Amino acid sequence: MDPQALKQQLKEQIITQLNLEEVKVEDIADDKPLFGEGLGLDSIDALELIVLLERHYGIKVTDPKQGQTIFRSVNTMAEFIQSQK
Amino acid sequence: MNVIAHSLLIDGSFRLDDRELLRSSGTMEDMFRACYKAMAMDYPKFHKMDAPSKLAVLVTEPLLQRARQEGADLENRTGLLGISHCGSTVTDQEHWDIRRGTGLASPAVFVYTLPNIGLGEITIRHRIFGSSLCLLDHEPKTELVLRSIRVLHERDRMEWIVCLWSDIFADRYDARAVLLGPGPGAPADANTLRTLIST
Repeated sequence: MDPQALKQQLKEQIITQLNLEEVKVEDIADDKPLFGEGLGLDSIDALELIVLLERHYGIKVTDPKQGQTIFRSVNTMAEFIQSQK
Repeated sequence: MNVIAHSLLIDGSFRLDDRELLRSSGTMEDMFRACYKAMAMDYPKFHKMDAPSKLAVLVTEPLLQRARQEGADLENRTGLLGISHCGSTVTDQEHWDIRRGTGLASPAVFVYTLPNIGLGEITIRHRIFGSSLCLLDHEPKTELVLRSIRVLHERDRMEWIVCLWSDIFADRYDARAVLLGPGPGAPADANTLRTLIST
């Protein structure tokens, strides 16, 4: 999949899966931090993102420490998904 | 203690004291969204909650706003009494359906598979650190409600108490809440409570 299309799809999946009802796709910049001051996601959201990768992309994140790098932004998530192919 | 205010959210109607705040003929989710907007809550976490928690948060929101206006010490001197019949059953079922369908649990759903989670969401929203009691029963039995209120008021020194009946099964919802406190109002006796929270 084209990297830009993958990022767009990821943003839509993040909004749906995490019930970010007041967030729109255009609110999520590719390099915007997903946690902390960015989207303000919490620890349950982090677990939900791990499930999202497994459910939609068949990728298992087995080391929780990896999550800090993978889920930094939509850019890092997309890079990780493409590196697993 | 006296009844300072009371609210009701049932069958498409949201009432505070004897005034209807909102009426909707839509689905349960439509109704919850309409109530959220009507109260201008600006609380994104609301959208992540399960339906029983949304119901509990919505029906108590105007009461806790009122308590704050009346100068209640929400942090230390406000207690919660929650009673439900079905508890988190609808969310337990959703969790099971997701697992059966995909083989993967949803952490965001799983965390709500507890009957007292609605009370937890109220305490987080309003930064309440006082005592709370969660009871599961077929209906809000007045004597048990009074006994529980006494525990919160006399033993735990809660000056303000929100007493809440909330129940969801399938798409039927029924929530009634009463704010008790030291201000003027009808005494919180058996007759008054039976009228306000009995199903």
